[in-house]
Amino acid sequence: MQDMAGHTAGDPLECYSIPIVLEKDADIDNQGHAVLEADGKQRYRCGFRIGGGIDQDPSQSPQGYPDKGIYVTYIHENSAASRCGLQVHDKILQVNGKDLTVATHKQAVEYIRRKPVLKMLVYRKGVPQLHKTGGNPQFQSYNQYSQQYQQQY
Amino acid sequence: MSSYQQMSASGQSRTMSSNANEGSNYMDLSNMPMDKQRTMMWPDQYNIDSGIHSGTTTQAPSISSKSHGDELDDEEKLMYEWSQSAGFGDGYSQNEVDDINQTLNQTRSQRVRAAMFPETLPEGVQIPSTQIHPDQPTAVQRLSEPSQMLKHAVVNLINYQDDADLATRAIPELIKLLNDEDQVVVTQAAMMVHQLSKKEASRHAIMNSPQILAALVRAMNNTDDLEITRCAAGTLHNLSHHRQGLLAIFKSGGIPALVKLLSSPVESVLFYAITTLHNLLLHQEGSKMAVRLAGGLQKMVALLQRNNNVKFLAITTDCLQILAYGNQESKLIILASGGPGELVRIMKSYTYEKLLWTTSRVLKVLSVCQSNKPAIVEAGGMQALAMHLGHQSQRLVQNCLWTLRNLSDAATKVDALEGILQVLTQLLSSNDINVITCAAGILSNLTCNNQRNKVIVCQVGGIEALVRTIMQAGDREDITEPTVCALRHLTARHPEAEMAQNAVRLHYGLPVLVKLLHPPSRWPLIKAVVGLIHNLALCPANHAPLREHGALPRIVQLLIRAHQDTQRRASVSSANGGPSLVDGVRMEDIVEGTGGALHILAREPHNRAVIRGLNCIPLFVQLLYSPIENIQRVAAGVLCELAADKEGAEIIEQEGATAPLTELLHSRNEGVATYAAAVLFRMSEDKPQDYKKRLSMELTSSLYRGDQNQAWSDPPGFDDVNQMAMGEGTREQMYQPPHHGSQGSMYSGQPDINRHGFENVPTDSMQGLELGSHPGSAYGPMDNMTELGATSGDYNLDSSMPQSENQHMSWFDTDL
Repeated sequence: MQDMAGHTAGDPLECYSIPIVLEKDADIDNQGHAVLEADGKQRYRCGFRIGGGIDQDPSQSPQGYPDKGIYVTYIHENSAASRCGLQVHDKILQVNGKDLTVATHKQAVEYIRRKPVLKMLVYRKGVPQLHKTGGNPQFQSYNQYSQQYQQQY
Repeated sequence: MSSYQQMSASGQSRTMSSNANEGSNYMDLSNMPMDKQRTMMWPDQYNIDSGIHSGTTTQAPSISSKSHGDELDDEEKLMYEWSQSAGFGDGYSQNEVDDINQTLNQTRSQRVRAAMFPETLPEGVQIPSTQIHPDQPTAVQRLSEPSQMLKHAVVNLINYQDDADLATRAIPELIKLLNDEDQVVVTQAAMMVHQLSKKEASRHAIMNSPQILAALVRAMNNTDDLEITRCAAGTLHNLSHHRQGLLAIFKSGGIPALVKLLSSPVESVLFYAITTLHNLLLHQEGSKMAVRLAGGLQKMVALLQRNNNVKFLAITTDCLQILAYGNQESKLIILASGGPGELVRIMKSYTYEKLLWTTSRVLKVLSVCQSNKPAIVEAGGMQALAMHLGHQSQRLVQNCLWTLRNLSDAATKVDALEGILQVLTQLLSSNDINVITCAAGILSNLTCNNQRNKVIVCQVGGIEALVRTIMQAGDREDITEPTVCALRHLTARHPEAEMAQNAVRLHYGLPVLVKLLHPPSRWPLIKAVVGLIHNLALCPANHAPLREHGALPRIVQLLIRAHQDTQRRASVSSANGGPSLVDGVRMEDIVEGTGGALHILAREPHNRAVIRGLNCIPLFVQLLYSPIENIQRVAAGVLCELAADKEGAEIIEQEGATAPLTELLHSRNEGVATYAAAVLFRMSEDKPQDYKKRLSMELTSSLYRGDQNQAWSDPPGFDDVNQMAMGEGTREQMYQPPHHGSQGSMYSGQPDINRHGFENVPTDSMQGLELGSHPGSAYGPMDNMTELGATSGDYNLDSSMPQSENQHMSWFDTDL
């Protein structure tokens, strides 16, 4: 698995990802009052929009996303998302430990909404590909010894 | 050498040297002053001792009959000498003396010629000799040898010049003839060139003429005629023994032509071609690239199949080795041409040492290529190489070992390695350090993660051999490190592991291993030893010996040092995300390894007392705060063991472990959470009942939270050691805490606790715990998700799993 774009949900994957910590903003209305959720708790805004999920059809996405992962489709200006380094078209792999590569849209929304601080791992196109070093770390490849060879005539 | 001639019929040697200008003495007596007249009477004056040896004169024979007055004294003395040694009895008459003189003069040139050109002497001629003393050669005699040498040199020069002249004049002619249309003419010309190339002078001429080589190569390329090809190849072969010739061949495009000849069915042509190419590859700069470009590699590999001549094969494989060394592309070409198979076949089929050696070198060069490695292993390379590990030839054995070691990390799935493993175990007793080092390395890799190999090595006495090797290696880490790693593999995760753990102790391995924890051992070795001790501690019989040899304090010391190192690096550069390496080893790994070893060692009560005594409980509590899950796990594990004693539990609580442990309950790592829970539980032994009840509720709920956690995954980077720790059933230990109170059912190991029990729990005691994240109730708190974005796709609220019809729904996004 070299390229995260086009990853089939459920397949094993391995790639470089960018860790991003997003601290949500408390949602404040124009008069400075806190906006509350239905149960009275403070609402938080992340400042971005997500699309995708394993229950969505990516071929119908206007952005032309290649797979059923969760993608950032929009970032509001002056928002927590814009400050934390998230970018449009980032694919969110994980939120607070929850794997979003095999999540429905609603599950993704729910997990993102859950906590006020998001510790995310995102994949961004252009981030260097992971090169498999091959071999279990416990194997010592004794290749270094080949350098000792002298040409013996 | 001139011969002695007896002149006197009486047999007395009355030889006279022509050195003395006796002529004048005898011929013109009347001119002599009176004092010289004495000389006439010298036959009568034998007893005068002149003290001069006639042999010391080095003057060339003087032909002049003039005499100088002052010389006469010497001559006089010489005369006396003669008279003494010659033992003249009679006198000579003047006439006789004159005659003798004359003869000697006339034969002088004969003597000279005889000295310089003995081969020109006619048979049976006696030349009068002037030698007086048998031991004292005349000047002519002494000069004869040097003059002959001079003569030969001059002759050679003359001949050489002839050859060179001849060739230089002939070469333009030959060039024309080689370019002729008529094949017969070309054949003759080629033969002539071949002849010329055999002699040195003409060969030089050929080497100096690029045109004739070009013509020759062209003729070779354009012909089917065997004779032309053979002569041309022979010529190039002769030229290839000289540096200038190699350069000339290279420049005239000889290499592609020679590579073409490698397809020839004629043996002599083939031999000429391969030998010439071999010389070029050895000594001529740029040949390697040219041979590669001309497709030489493929042809050479094909030749390995066709031929049985061992010397031919040796040269061909040596060419392959020269071409492949350091050149990845060549190695891949050899692979694609079926090289590995052929080379392995040669190793199996032949016994000629030189061939085996050159082939093993090719395999060695190929064995570092990631693509060739599996091909060689699949072709049976391991077994083929192991066949020769007992060979007399040291260089062959060494090359085979190096190759085997390179291949060993790709050979873990290979069966039928019993023979190899046995030989390798025996080689550990070798005298040669290189052999031991390689054998240990190969064994280490082959036993890694391979149960079958582990069992075999144990059965052939591998443990004993390895322990002995460590003892004899002293502080040579090149040897001890792979050996310790091999033992580490052998003491865990296979049916005979327990036997192995005991065997190390029985062969007196424990003291020397504990010693290796100390300087001058470097971190890689220390890491390996700690892992081995971890495994050894799984055997209860080893607990006491390990303690007695002082393993515990040293391991704690290493833990402290490594931990301090990580702290220091963390504080110095908080932005520096990556782990830092000392001697190529991460200090975090050392913390984890030592912690894990202490965890197992702490199973024994005495050991626990020692660990407590070393005052490291505060350190373990501190480690609970580590960001690395593995370290959290080992810290919690050690504390769990230590908490089994009342004193331990008290100290742990005093150190304020409760808070971090509670935090760790929520870890997504199963091991961490479980150990943390167990420690808390043990610590709660003496607490009031309601505390215990509340604690157990918390613990339960945090442990059985549901899908918020991942499927329980092993922490990354598990190696043999850690796998053993987890798989060894520490769970079972934890699930039998002593003095367990009323909540006996909780840790029975069955995770099918009544989930609905959650929802009945009063909320206040659930502060900080996450509820409502059951699988299947993922949409329970749906009411939180009021705002689902601007688009209005129809979606199925009740489905937790995606339905196939959802694939067709319009794609939408949600604002968050």
